[in-house]
Amino acid sequence: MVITMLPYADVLVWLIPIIAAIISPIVAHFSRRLTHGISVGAIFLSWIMAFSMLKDILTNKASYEILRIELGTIPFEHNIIWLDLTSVLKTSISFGILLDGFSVFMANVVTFVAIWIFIFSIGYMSEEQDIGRYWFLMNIFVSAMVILVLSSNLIQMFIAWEVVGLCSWALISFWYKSMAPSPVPGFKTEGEYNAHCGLKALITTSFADAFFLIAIALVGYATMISMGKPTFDFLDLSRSFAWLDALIRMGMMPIFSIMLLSGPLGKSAQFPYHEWLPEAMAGPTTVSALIHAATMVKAGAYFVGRFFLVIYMGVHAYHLTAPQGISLFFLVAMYIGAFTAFLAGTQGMVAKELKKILAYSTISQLGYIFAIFGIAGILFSEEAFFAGALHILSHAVFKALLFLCAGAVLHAVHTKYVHEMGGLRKYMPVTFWTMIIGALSLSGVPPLAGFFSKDAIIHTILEAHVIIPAMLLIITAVITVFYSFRMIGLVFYGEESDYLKKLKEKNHHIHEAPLVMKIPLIVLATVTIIIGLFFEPIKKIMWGEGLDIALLQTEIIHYVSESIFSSTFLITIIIITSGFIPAYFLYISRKIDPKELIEKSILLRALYFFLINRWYINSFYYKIADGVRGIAREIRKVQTGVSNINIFYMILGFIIFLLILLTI
Amino acid sequence: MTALPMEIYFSVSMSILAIGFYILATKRNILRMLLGIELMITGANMTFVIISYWLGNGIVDPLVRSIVIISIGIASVIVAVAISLVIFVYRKFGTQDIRKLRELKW
Repeated sequence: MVITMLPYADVLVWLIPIIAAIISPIVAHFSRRLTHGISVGAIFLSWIMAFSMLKDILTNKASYEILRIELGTIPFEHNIIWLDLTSVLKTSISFGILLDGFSVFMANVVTFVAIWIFIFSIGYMSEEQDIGRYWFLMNIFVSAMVILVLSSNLIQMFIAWEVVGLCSWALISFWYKSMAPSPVPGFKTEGEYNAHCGLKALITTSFADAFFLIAIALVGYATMISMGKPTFDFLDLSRSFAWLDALIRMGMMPIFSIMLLSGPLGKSAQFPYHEWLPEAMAGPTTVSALIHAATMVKAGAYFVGRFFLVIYMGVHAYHLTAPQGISLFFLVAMYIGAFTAFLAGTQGMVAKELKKILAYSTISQLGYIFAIFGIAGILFSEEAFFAGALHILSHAVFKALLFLCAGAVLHAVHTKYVHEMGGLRKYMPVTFWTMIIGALSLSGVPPLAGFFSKDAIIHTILEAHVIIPAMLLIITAVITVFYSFRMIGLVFYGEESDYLKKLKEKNHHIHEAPLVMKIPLIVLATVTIIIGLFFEPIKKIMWGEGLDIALLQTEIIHYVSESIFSSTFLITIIIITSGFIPAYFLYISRKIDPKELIEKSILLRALYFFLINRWYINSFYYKIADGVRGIAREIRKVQTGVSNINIFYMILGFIIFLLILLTI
Repeated sequence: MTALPMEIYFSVSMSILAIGFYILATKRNILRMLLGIELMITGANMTFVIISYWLGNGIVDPLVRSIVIISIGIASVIVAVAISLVIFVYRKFGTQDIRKLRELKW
């Protein structure tokens, strides 16, 4: 059976959401239902397109035999010349689509998770007036992310990268008009606080992207002097490593590596840039789910994976030798990833807001992905690359699930603080069970998706003999289990809080989510349970080896038994129990009061304040920002606002310019 | 027709430009500043024609003529828009003093 790619699927996959984005604000004036229908339908169609690409490119090998490279992946590229710069730079920048295992896999993850988030939004945003703006931004967001993962060159990818950042800014500060009192002192209204959070995300990521852009320019420069014309194409970059040698000859390699890594670190909220993500919780929960699960933060991880593939393909398909210097990129990625995983995990243990716990866990899990991609780059190991890519998939599914559950809880109780919840188990059974599944997957409990990917990560990292990252990641795994169950315990177990009792007195009925919100939860929970079993086939599809349906069953059994009887299974069990037991006594059975513990011990109290203040990194950044603002306040005095003086300066500049011309 | 030396033409056009600059730098009234801008545009147009006359040895390139005519047309449009803006500014703030119109700076 030959199932071919739908015609123009590689274009339609991102074009359909753009069209929906343009239509939906107009339709929103007439009918809300139609707007919902258009957006959900568009994203569903987009997923169909992405899925058809998966089947065609990766199972039907024959049709792209010419383009096939020995490596096994089948990069299929088609480019349209977009900016013709032949007269100036002897090159042109094209708008191209690169289809290979990794990009198609990512496009599927993005669109599939987005479908359920979109359906959930219908219920969650039911009281929202400004629905046209919401759907416009959500559709553009997903579409830009799909363009990003399918880009064939760095320039196009960077543009999509910035569109993603811009959409995240607009969506985080979506409720900028809200007049409710601000949750944080220092702002007049909640709307002002939301706008501040969006701006913080935009500024942090743009700051990181500035370095990324310089690194892209360096790629262009290096390729120009080594190959004669600048190129940004991923396939061209892996065809010859002369550009890397040129960079080393210039002595730019360390700077280049760090700058190139800066963009992904900013997008994925890794160590120096991680502070924007917890604040990004100010947006609607569906937006948080989209940012954390499918789009935005996965872009950084995707780029590191893509860069690994560029090097890997050069080595294995074109038999080049990679210069030693490039391993610095992956080394830094590994250390930063492992450190961030630990840093964010510890902060997640004390977070007070439900969504912030999840935000810290996202930063932490992305740290795992960065660390494993780093190891993949250092060792040139396919296994490590797969572990990272599969963790992207399993994290996308369970984090979307957890966020949607959090959305359902927030929708029901109208508070975001976990201490104001409690005992919700009997009111919201569906949300409770699905969230349990999500939390188990996050903790890496077999046989859920998180177990297989995290097990693969820990297995690879132990084999790599890198002691510090391995220690950090294993400790983080324990912490992950602890805060997952702390979250479950505080929200669903124990007595109802005073806040909830008051809410009930006011005749507010705490209710289970409506059907349109329940369905995405159930679907994502089901996917979380079963997707882990299909990791071996997915791996093969991603590598372009084709899929044999007859062997599927034995492969799955083999993979599962291999994972369970592996040497790291014991470690996994130890991790889970040592994280679960304290969480159980502190927050689920509530035999020990965590407040008493903190009051008794000075050490614990100091640790608590250190963690609740986010290692003082956040306040340090705010100090820098205030310093810059102080300097700007002084410099601004030059701008008097008097036109006469401005024109005087203009004439002065004109004269200086003339003098310079005369002297030359 | 005997042509005057080029320096004389240039000095006339450049002094018109300089007068325009001077008006912009010193006057407070918006209408006067507008006159200054108009003078500068005239000076620039003149310079353009003079250079063409000079390069073409007494023949002005038709392209330059048409560009200058378009420029004059656009200048009149600018005046129309600017005067309407001045009127609205006067209605809203009750002043034509440019130094008092500093609302953008707070």
